[in-house]
Parts: sequence; C-alpha cells; structure tokens
Amino acid sequence: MKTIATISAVLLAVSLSACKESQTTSSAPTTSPDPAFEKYFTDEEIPAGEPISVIRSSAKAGDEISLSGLVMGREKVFVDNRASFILGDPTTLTPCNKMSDDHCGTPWDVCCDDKKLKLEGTASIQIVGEDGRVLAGEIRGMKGLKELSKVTVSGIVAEQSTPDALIINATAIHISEP
Amino acid sequence: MLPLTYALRNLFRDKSRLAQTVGGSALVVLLVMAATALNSGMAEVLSASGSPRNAILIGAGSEESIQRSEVSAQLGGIAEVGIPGVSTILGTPAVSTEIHYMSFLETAGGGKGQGLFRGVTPKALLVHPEVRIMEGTFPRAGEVMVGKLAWRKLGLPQEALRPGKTVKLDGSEMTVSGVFAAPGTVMESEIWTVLGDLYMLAQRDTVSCVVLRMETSDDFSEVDLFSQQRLDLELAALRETDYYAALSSFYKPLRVMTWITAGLVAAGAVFGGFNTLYAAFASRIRELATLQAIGFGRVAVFFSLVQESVIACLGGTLLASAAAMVLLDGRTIPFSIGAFTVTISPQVAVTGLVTGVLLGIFGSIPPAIRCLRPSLPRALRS
Repeated sequence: MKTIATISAVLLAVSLSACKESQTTSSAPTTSPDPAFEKYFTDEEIPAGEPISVIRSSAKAGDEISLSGLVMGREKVFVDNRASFILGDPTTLTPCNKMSDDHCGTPWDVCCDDKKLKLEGTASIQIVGEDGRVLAGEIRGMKGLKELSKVTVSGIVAEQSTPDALIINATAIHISEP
Repeated sequence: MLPLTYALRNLFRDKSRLAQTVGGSALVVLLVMAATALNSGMAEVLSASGSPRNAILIGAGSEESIQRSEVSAQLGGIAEVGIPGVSTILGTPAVSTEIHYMSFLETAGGGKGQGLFRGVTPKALLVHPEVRIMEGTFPRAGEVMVGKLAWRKLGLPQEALRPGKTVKLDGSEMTVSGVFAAPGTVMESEIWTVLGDLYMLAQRDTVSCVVLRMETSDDFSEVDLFSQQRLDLELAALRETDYYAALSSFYKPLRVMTWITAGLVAAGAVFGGFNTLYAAFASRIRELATLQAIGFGRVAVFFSLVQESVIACLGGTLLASAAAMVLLDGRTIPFSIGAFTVTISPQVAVTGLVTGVLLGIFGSIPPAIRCLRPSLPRALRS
C-alpha cells in the first residue's frame, strides 16, 4: 500500500511539473556584440517606408529602401557569428505575446501565423563588408537589439535578394523600442 | 608475508573449484570486453562519419532524419552560387545534392535485405573524400556501387554484391558497378546509385539534402546564414558532425541496454564466484588459523587469499582475452543505419585486464574477511 502511495505521489509530481506553463525565454547571446557594428546604429529616427509585405513586390536589387518592423519571423532570428537578423512586418504578423492566450516561450517565432504570411512579411537584414560578405560577429545585444525590438532600417536591396526572400544590406539601423 | 608459491599451490588443490573461478571470471571479463568493444565501435563509426568541414542543408523540421527531409532539387545550384566559403576542387564547387532512401535490395539468388541507398552525382566524392573506389567504377545510370560492408548490413552473401552482379532495387534490375571503402564510417554500409535513378525509384521530385564542403569549419556560419535568409526554401543547416552526434545519442539507450545486459549476466557470474570462494576459503579455516598460530599475521594470510583469487581471475582474463580475439575481433555488426567492425583495441584489452584484477580483489575480500574473523582458538577448533 505504502509503495503504491509513493509511486502515485511520484507520478503526480511528474505530471504536475509537465503542466507548468512555458516561460518566455530569449536566446541569450553567448558572446557580447561586436563594437565594429556600432557605426551602423543611429539614434536619429529613420523615416519608415512602406510595410515589408508591400515593399517586397516592388523591391529590386540595388534599390535604396527603408523598412520598419519587429525582430521576429522565426524561432532563431539572429544568425550565430554573423551580422544578420530577421525583421517582421507587424501589420501582417502577430507575435504570440500580443495574443490573449500567450503560452509561447518564443513569441517572436510568430508560430500562430500562416506560413505564407510569414514568408511575405519578413525580410533579412544584414551588414556586409567591402568584399560583399556578411560581417562576422554577434549583432544581438548592440544598443539593446534583441528579439521583438522595434527597428527601422535603411539600406540597399542585396544582389541575392529574390521576390521570395527579401534581403537588405543595412546602411543605418535605428532601434525605437529595444 | 606468505610466499606466492603457497597461493599458487592452493589454487590447484581443488581443480573443479579452480575451473569454476577461472570460468566465472572469464565470462565476466568477456562480457565487459564485448560491451566495451560494441559501445566504442558504434560510437566511433558515428563520430567518424561526419566531417567538421561539411555542412548539410536539409528541410526545416527534418533535422533528426535526412531520409525524411525534402528540399528543392535546385537547391544545390542555388547554394553553390549563394554561399561563400564553399571549397573548390579543380574549379568545381564541393556541393553534393543527395537523396537518402531506405529500401530493400534483392539479389539474383533470392536474397533480400534492407539498406540505405544514397542517390549521388560524381560530386559526392568531393564532399566525402574518405570514399575510395576499391573495385570497379563509379555508378552510371542503371548501376549501383556498394560499400565494403553493405553485404553485412543487408545480411547477404558477400559474393552476391561483387562488381558485375545483378541486383534488384524496388523491382528494377541494376548492375553492381563497383565496391567502395570509407573506413570507419557508416557510408561503408551504404549503396550508392545515380541521383537520377533514385528520383525515379523513390518516386520523388525533391532531394533529401545538399552537402557542402567548406574551406574551413568556421565557414559553417555562411551556410547557417543562407538557411536563415532563404526563408522561402524552408531550410535548416547542420554541421555533419552534429548530425551524426545526434544519431549517436539516439542510439544511447541501445548502448545502455548492452551494458545492462552484460551487467546482469556478469552479476550472476560474480555471485557464483563469491559462492565458490566462500566455499573454498571456508573449508580452509583451520589451515589458515594454523598459519596464524605459527607466526604469519592475519594481514599476511588475508593478502595471500587475495593473491590466490587475483591469480585465478587473471587466468580467466587471459582466457577471456583469447576468446575475445577469436570470437569478436574483426566481426562486423549491423545496426539500423549501417554496420561497424568490432575491434579488440588496447583500450578494450586494458578494460578487460582491469576488470579481471578488480574481480579478483573485490571478489575475495568478503570471503577472506569471513574466514579470518573468528578468534584463533575458535578457528583452530572448527
């Protein structure tokens, strides 16, 4: 009887621990941001252009554009050791923390939104060097840049950008809400 | 201290008990050596299968199994152009588009076995430089090239997979064009065929993955960046080493089971050995007391008993090592994604030796204490 009671207590404890709501976690950077990226960040406001989902259809390689959005769009929005992140369009995508029943540990992955909407409402922002390659180093944490930061970017549409995958070479980044 | 010859002489006083002790310890040592060799063999083949310079682009969500992954057939070309840092060999980028497909292979003799088929182009040799064609040629349409250990994985006679032999893959007749080696990797158990053939046989218009060989292992970040930026392609980038490390941890329960099984059988043998030693020492309580009475200390007698047990167990270890060399060394063991060769390496041999010594020491301590615990007058009268 005592054994059955002990086993029941253990099973109950295990099942209750499984019910615990997931905490909002952010993928903390393993290293600090590279100071070399600081020159690309500005405190001056950049006039926001059209929403990402609108500008995507008309943007061509070499065009100078500005975009505004939140750092969101997939579970991993920053690339390890490369100056690149995903910017999502808040007019079409809704991070899970803006929903009434938020149980998501990674709200920036906009997991509740349709795959097509995610594709249309996201752009990849990168900082490239003179050789055209994306600069190495961590950008997360620079001036408080993190998941769900509100950011405006001005830059040039990259050569490898396609109508399905909008890629911007950033020249200036302004964080309005870290 | 008692002379070593005393312990040696005592060993042969009861030959059946000696046989039991030696046999029991040999069984335990052999099981430990087998478990160590199997575990290290499987772990080594999986860790050696991935190159730190290789990156794999697979479908997002299929990170645990390449076979489940589906990516665009054009991905290889897109990746070649879009990813900097890809290694170039004689002007050709080391980018291999592959289909991984699990299916059955039938031989002309009626044999049938399940194996992993890899649809490749000749560029696969650029990203997997460990592959060496031992016999025959790289496959052309309607041909397959088999790994050196594929016959073992498929459970077929080795002769059935010689170059020139006819085999059937999903009902289609194909000819074995060659045999390749990729020492210490799971690829050695695979069957390679032309990518175009596998499109048709697997009835798919997508590929499983694209493998890229980078200039340096640090260039993996470029592949990761590409997979993050090309959201439309729904990709995930993995280091080849990480993929096989994940596979290795997938097989961990299997390896643990090997140890548990060996442990359970060994425990039976250890307790049997305990019984034998208890009986052997208990019958000599008076003799041991006499030794103390004529001046040998209790510690000296204790060490002599331990010595006796260690010598018997070392005899068992020798027997087990010989059995391991004859029965296990060089044997190929198939498992779900390939096959590995069991090797009685110096590490395995040392593990066996240490097990034998520990068994001799710890197996003799409780019976020796029990025999030496009674007071001298009581022991002499027993």
